[in-house]
Amino acid sequence: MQAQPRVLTILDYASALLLTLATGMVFFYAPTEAVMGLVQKVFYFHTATAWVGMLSFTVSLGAGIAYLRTGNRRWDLVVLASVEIGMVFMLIAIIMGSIWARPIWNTWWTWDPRLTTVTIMELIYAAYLMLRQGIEDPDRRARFGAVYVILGFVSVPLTFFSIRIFRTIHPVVIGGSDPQATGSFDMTARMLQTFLTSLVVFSLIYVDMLWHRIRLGELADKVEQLKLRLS
Amino acid sequence: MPANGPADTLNYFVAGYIVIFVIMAIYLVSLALRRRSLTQDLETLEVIDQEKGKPEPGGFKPRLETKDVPVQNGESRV
Repeated sequence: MQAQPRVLTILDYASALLLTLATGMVFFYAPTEAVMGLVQKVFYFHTATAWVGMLSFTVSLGAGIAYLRTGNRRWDLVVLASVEIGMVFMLIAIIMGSIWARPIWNTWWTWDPRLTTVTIMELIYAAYLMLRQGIEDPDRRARFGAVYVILGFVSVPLTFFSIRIFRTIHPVVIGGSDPQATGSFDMTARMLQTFLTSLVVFSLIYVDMLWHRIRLGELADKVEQLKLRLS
Repeated sequence: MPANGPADTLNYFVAGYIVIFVIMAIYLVSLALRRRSLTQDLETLEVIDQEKGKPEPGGFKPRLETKDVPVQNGESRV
C-alpha cells in the first residue's frame, strides 16, 4: 500500500485549521441578523455545503465525459468519489436548510420548487450508487456509470436555477430575490466576508476529501483485481 | 417572530451546526473504516497469491510410491 503523500497530509491539516477558522467567523465575527436572529448563521455553511454538492456533481460530469473519451479507469474512480462526496454535502445542506426553515417558514419541509428539485437530484445520484452495486464487470460498470452521471447532471442546473425560474419562497441571496421569498436579508461586509470564507474553506475540504476518496477507490480496485485473478 | 429585536433561534442555530459536524465526522470515520478493511483484505489476498505461486516442497509433481509396484521394462505401473 502506498504511503500518504506529504501534500495530502498538509491539505488535511490546512482543511481542519481553516474549518475551525470559518466556524469561528460564523460564531464570533459575523453579526446576528436583525429579524431572524442566530439561525440566520446557518446560511453560511448551508450555502457552502450546497455549493460543494453542486461542484462535486459537476466534477463527476467532467470525469464521466473523460472516461468515455479515454477509457481510463482512473476517471471512473473520480466519478464515484465525487458523487459520494456530493451526496454527503448535499444531504448536510438539505438538513441544515430544514432546520433553518422551521422558525422562519414555520415548517420543517414544504414542496417548494428548490426543495423538490434538490430532493430529486439527491435521489438521482443515490440511484447511481445503487446502479454500480448491481453491475459486476468493472468496465461495464464504469461505462454505464459515466453515461448515467452525464444524463443525471440535468438535475443540477435545474436545481440551481429553480429559485430563479419558478415562483418560490426560498431566498435568493445573490442575484436578487423573488418578492414571494421568505427569509431574505441584505449582507453586511462582515456577513459577506464570512460567506466567502466559508465557500473557499469548503471547496478546499472538498479537494481534500476527493483525494482521500480516490485513493480509497484505487485500493478497492486493487483488491477487486486481485480477487478476480485468484478466482 | 417578535417585532422588536431578533427572534430567539439559538436552539436551531446550535442544531444546524451539530448536524454538519456529526455528518462530516460519520463520513470521515466511514472512509477510515473502509480503508482499514480494504488494507486487511489486500494483505490476506497477497498472502494467498504468494502461496499459490510458490512451488510445493519437493517440486510441483508429487512423488509416486513405487515400492510395491512391479517395474517392467523400466516403466512403473501405478
